[in-house]
Amino acid sequence: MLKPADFVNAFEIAREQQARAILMLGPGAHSLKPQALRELANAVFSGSIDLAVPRYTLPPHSGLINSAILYPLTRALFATRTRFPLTIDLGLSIRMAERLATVGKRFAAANQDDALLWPVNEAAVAAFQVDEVEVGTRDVPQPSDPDINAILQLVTGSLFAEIESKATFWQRPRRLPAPRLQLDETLLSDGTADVPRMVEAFRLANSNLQEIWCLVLPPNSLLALKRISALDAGMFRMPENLWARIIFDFVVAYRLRTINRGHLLGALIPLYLAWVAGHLNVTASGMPSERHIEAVAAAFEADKSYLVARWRWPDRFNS
Amino acid sequence: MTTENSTSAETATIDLTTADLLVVGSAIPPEEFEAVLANLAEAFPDCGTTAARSQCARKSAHH
Amino acid sequence: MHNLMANISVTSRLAFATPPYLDDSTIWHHMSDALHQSMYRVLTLLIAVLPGILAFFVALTIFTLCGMLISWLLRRCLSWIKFDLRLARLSGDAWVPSSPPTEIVARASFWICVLFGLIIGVSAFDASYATGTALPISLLPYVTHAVGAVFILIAGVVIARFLARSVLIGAVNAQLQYARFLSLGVKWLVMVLTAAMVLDHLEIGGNIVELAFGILFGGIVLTLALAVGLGSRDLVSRSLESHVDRTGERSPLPHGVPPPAEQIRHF
Repeated sequence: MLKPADFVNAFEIAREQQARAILMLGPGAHSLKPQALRELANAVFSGSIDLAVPRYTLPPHSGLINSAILYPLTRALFATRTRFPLTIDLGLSIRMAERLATVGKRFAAANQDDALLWPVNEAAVAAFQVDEVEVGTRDVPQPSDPDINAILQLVTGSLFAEIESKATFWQRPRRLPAPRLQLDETLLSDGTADVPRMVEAFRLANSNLQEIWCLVLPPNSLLALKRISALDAGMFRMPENLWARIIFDFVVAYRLRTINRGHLLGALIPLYLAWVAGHLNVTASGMPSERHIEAVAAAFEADKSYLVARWRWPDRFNS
Repeated sequence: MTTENSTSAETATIDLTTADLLVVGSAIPPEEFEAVLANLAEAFPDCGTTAARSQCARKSAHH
Repeated sequence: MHNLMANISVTSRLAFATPPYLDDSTIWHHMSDALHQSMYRVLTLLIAVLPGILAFFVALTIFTLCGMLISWLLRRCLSWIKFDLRLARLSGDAWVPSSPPTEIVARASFWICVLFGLIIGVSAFDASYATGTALPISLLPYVTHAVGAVFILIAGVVIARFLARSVLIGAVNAQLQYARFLSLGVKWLVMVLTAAMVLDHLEIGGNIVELAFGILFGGIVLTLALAVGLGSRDLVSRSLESHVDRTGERSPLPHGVPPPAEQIRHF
């Protein structure tokens, strides 16, 4: 992932060379087609777009954290349809680069050299123009240690902190722009081999983590979780609105520091695995994956008022 | 167009001419960097390309 | 001779009667004397100590009120000179406290005054206690030990809860069936250690407490080790399998066997 120092260096060099636009590429960029590189560059070179974000065609059942949490949250709160809000390739205008460099310097000054920046959110707050560019397939480098616990905590924790810092922006109602790119209706292959394991993990957490979940989630969410824990692995599914409210409750708990933040994000992992299990079952039943993810994102949008109400009056568990 | 590949936070000073588009590679391994340059050259056949790979000093630990 | 026998018998009768110094009225008289004297000593001690107790509460009250006044004055002055803004400009984003710096300074000054009042009050109480009793015993060291023991207890409880929660979440995410048992074991380990430290700090129990702690602690550790060793076979085998997958040492599938399902990538 792009580090704060990358943005700082990119802007410094661009300013020295009086460049008009910047194209930032991460590891694995050799797999991007030349046409994709050209389109990314042209998007910011035209002058009207400040941030060009690639839309990848990923292998089946990839980028599930993005599909479950990052994309729906970013879409609902920052009113942007960017499918991959945290990418390792970007097209930047100079003013966008300057803004990201400023944020990067802030992280560097706080000795947070590995912090994540969220360019899409920064662009939304600054009212800069964001565009999405189809780039096709790309080799996305996987972390050396693919520990879901560490990855989820890092990425989700960073987004939660970002949401907390930009609370005054996303609490206002905003209109979501119309979709420009077509939905990918490809049916995926069966990935349900891992579902029983994930459902078991969720059931174990449901019986052991109630004392922690009850500090974060309202009673009706806990009851709904109890109901779905009784479902068979083949029929297992996490309703979209339940998932949306769970994430919103965790965002509020992150802000209020209801429990230690590390513990909070650790307690989210079994719930995320439950969502993944449900998603795999849904796609195995014939629904295109992107359609289900769009339904999840729509549920996040519909329940945004729940988050705003809980953010402002955190002591009341709204129904 | 100018291409840069840096492997850490600091960047050595490089003497370059001005460029319209700056392409910055972050932590791209050297073997992939050449392929990226080739793709860029194919993507922008009508542009001149200046490429540099900087070996940057790592930030000292006591910072 | 007859008179001598009569005298001897009278004397012997008198010898077997109650000695003059042990009759009932004397016993009660001495007992009441002892009670009166002890009551007098205790009341004298209380009267001697009472000013110290009063001095303690007066010192605490005065310094608490002073602390409130100083805190209010500091809050007004620092707000007037825009202390928060100046500090933010100087430090940038290097230090972003959860509360405004003015609030932190005001609260700190208040609690420093309260602490000062506590020290002065306890010192006054201790002085009057020492002069009021005949024994050269100072109460102050024991009070400080007691305060230290309370802090140790609070810290131990907080650490126990934190560690128990960390172990619970970690074990659940590692899909260990005995996660709750492990978490309780860790919690009780820390609580037992804390209790032993508190008793040791208060100098209660001596060797008995040390021995009991050693037995209990060792027993809990042994139980946990057995539980982890016997129950983590699945985890070890899963860990070895995932290591083999990563290093690519799995042998190629035989002909005709379908490939495994698509790998799930969370990132």
